[in-house]
Amino acid sequence: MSRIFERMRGIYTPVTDIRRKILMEITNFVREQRNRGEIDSLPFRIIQMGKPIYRCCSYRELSIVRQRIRLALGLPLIEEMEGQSALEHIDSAFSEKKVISTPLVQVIRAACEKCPEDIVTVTDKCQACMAHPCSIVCPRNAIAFPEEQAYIHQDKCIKCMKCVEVCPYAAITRMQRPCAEACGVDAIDSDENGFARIIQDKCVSCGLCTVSCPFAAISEKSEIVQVLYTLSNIQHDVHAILAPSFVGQFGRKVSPEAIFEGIRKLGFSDVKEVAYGADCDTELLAEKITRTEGFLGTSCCPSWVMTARSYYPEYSEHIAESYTPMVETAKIIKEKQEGAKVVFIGPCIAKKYEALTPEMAPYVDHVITFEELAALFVAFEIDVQKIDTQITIQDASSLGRGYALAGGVGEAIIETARQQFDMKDISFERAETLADCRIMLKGIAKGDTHPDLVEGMACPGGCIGGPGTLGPLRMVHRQVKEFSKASSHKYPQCGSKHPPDAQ
Amino acid sequence: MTSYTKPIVVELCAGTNCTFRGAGNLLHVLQSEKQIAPYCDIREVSCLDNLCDHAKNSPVVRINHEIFEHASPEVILDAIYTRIEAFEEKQQ
Repeated sequence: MSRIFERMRGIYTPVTDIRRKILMEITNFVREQRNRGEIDSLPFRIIQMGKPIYRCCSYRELSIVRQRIRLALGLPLIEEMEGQSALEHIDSAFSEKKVISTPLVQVIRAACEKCPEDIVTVTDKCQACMAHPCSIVCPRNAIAFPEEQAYIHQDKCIKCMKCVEVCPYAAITRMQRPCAEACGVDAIDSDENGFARIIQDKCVSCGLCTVSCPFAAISEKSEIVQVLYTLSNIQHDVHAILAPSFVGQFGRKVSPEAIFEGIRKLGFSDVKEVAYGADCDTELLAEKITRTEGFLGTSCCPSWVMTARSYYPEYSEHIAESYTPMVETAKIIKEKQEGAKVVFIGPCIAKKYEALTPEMAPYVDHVITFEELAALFVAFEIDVQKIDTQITIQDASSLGRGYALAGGVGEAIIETARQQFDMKDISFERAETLADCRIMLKGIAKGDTHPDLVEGMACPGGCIGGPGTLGPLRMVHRQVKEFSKASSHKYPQCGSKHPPDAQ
Repeated sequence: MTSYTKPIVVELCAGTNCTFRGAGNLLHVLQSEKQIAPYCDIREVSCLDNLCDHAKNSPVVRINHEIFEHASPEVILDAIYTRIEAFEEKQQ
């Protein structure tokens, strides 16, 4: 069966809606320069007292919305208690400084429904049949019939699924906690009260749990407010750098050029493709693979890198130390223009984490997602569909633009190694989603496979399947391919040759 | 202008406001529903006179001149199937 985040993908649910409503309201709040004291009234623009639509009662909704606002401001969650509202001590958020800190992904306990971690359970469809094959196949004798219908003793059940397979009425099902099922690194368990808990030592900030919880109980911190403050300061230029998966995020009728132009209208002084940095990365890795013993792992997905390094520390040196496309792109801007600010806009929550690390922090000032970018467009009343522009974008090669798709990074490195170093027959292996990445690494560790090049991506489909995306997967896939073909050059031209400016 | 040969015209706002609140997902649903294709002309249109009121009522859809605000797939698909049934009845 498809995984939880694939089942819910592409469906605009109330979970998606509340995320976006909060972003929209908080952006309007800052843009309209409302008095900070009015923050207490903000939740009532999202919910209506006495008319709960998401939860059992308005007071619970109110409590949850306050916590979500804290995260949208970039602040850590605090438990509401006597005399302390979640919307106190928020002043530090209204600044252009970096406010967010780890952990980036947090469980909103007020919103968590404490669903069972993982149980095999008998539903009402059970007919208490004469054959009862369920109990006969059970290797642990865990199934009894106390009141006619089958009952599974959870302390005995080992979740072998044999009973599920044999039931003539399909009356037995396994129920997993969606957040934990989405997590590829087993970083979610329960606290003493049964609420989902993220084990921060294991979490790699991929963010797939945030889009998988059916109660929207897990969310990430946003930098949207700090980006608004950065933009309003005219003392410095603010550059936007756009991840390769930006193409198609606003519908198939919105061209990449229109998105660039829309971002300029927000007040960014310039926009650049991160695919440029991808090109730099490709060149580095294509050269590196010619002199690597064993396999070379890609380094552009921070969640994959963290996962591989923590599960297989012995492979750490196989994963390229080079900076990621985001940092390569930001670097060239910062080198050219001292004091300029750089905002990375992508599909990714892990990039928010990456930008917090001491090595990367000097280059990237803030990170927002496409979803947050859309919230800015809405607040600034910019309709990118209506933008007609004559600019052309030529920051990157076809191969660099392909980084957004699963398999694209590997393809870029293989093609470039062939063209520049005449290196053929690179055996390539790749995986998408962290669970599959771990299976792939396990195979390599056992010696089942011997790849030269290994690509890992945390999100299904690659970056276009990231938690911060808006566009439907298949459509975005097509658009990314088209934009990739539209580049003037196939192979990366990074190095000393700087690409022409976007203008 | 092309003349309408299909009995149902579904105009879906593809402006940024409506896209932000789920128009892209709705379009995807409508395009994936193969049974409605012979009857429906599905069009992505520009912002419909800011009917959404700054995304508050998004997404906005117009089916044969009738406006739907907060257009969710279940409401829109049902509205389309209802019209298809009415059309089929008239044909007989």
